[in-house]
Amino acid sequence: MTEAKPLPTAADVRSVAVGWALRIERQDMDDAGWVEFTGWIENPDHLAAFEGVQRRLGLIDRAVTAPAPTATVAKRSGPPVIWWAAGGGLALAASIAGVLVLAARGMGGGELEFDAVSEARTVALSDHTEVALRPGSVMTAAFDGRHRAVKLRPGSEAAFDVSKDHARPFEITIGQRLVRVLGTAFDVNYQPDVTRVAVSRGVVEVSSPGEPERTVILTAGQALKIRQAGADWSTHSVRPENVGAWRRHRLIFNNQPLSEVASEITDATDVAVEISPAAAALRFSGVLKLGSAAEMANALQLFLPVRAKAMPGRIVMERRRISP
Amino acid sequence: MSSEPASTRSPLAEAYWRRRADLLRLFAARSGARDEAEDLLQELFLKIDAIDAASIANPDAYLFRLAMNLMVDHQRRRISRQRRERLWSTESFALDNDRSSFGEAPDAGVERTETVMAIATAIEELPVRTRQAFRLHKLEDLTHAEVAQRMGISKSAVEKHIMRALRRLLPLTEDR
Repeated sequence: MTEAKPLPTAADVRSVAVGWALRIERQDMDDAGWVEFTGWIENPDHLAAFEGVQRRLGLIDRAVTAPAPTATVAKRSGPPVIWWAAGGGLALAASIAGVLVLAARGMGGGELEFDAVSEARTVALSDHTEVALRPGSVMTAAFDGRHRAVKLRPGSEAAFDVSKDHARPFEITIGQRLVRVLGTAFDVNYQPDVTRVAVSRGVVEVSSPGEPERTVILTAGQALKIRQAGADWSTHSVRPENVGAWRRHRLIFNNQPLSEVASEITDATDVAVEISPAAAALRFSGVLKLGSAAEMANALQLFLPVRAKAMPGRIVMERRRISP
Repeated sequence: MSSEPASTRSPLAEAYWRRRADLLRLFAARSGARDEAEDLLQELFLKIDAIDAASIANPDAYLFRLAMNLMVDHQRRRISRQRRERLWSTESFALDNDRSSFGEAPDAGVERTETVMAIATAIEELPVRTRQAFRLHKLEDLTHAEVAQRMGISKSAVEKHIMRALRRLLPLTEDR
């Protein structure tokens, strides 16, 4: 009466062993499960298969703490691009770049330095974050399984487009401050006398690890200005399109009061632009080529009934009288 | 194999001495290090020694439950300890260092290291939520319930993420 049952193959046994291992890994198997498992593993073949699965799980455990991604520098024409990749990713990065790969493995304990000496450059990091560095900027980056950390040297400005990765917050250290983000676009301008963080997309948190009460959350369209010397932290609004305007060499305005236009010019150039009360109500729509504050103020004279006067360290814009 | 007289042993201790060799094999396979497996066996023995075994219906099943949970917990503890130790460490990450930094068994060679690197890459390529759940559980030594709370999802969703991660990663570990 009994039908001959095919003997389980090694592959069958192995897949049952994987099933047991995964159930055990969950750590919530009931009594009946344990009794069944204990019976199953009495069989030496089953024990050997289960041992094999444990060895494989052990490899995965080790991979979880595997070293930080190693770095390769891929050279090609155009702006240099840095690829970060772990293990097998190396070959992939090389084939995308399609050219010479210089191994930079183990450089300074997984920390890499990027600088934009005389011209702006864009750096693509392994997590697909893009960082545009303004000429004269220096950034170091250290990524691992848990952190994405970059540091900016004073005198740097960088526009970030950070990829989303909730498990690995993206942190930027600028002197004593820390900017912490989760997938967003923003600009950090870190100068010796003033630091400015402006957000075009998402949410950014700026803090001073030494002073926990000084934490500012910025959303798209907001900017924070910190005077290095004092305790002066002030926020103001910006047009998201104008964050990182230096990359596009222009400022864009859409029916904005002249006071806002002036504050964006100030942001971009660090020169104070004052608006006389009579001119404050004027509105401007248009595109200004990014230049010095005086150049941009002069350009505004072509569009609005205003006159720009250069004073020591600032520019004053007054309403122009229409001549009779 | 033991010098202890059989009559004084609890059924649980009986089971321990009977299955000790099997457990050692499993511990060694998982941890990749024989001495670590021996330590774990010792820890297991101290545990069962402290248990009143009178009410245990199936000593073997109970023993395996203790042993396997101990092994899984031990791996998680080890991973989170290693992570803390290597965070921001300035050691070189050259492949040659893998043996010492991972506590790799002496018989593990370059191939093993390549496998570990391939898995590390595959972990990076997991879907974001799956990777997050897997990392929180493995790296931060959080239980599935704690991961669920942290991520704002159900415990069964966390289990699905972890199982998906392991199922995706296991094929990479096949012996070639």
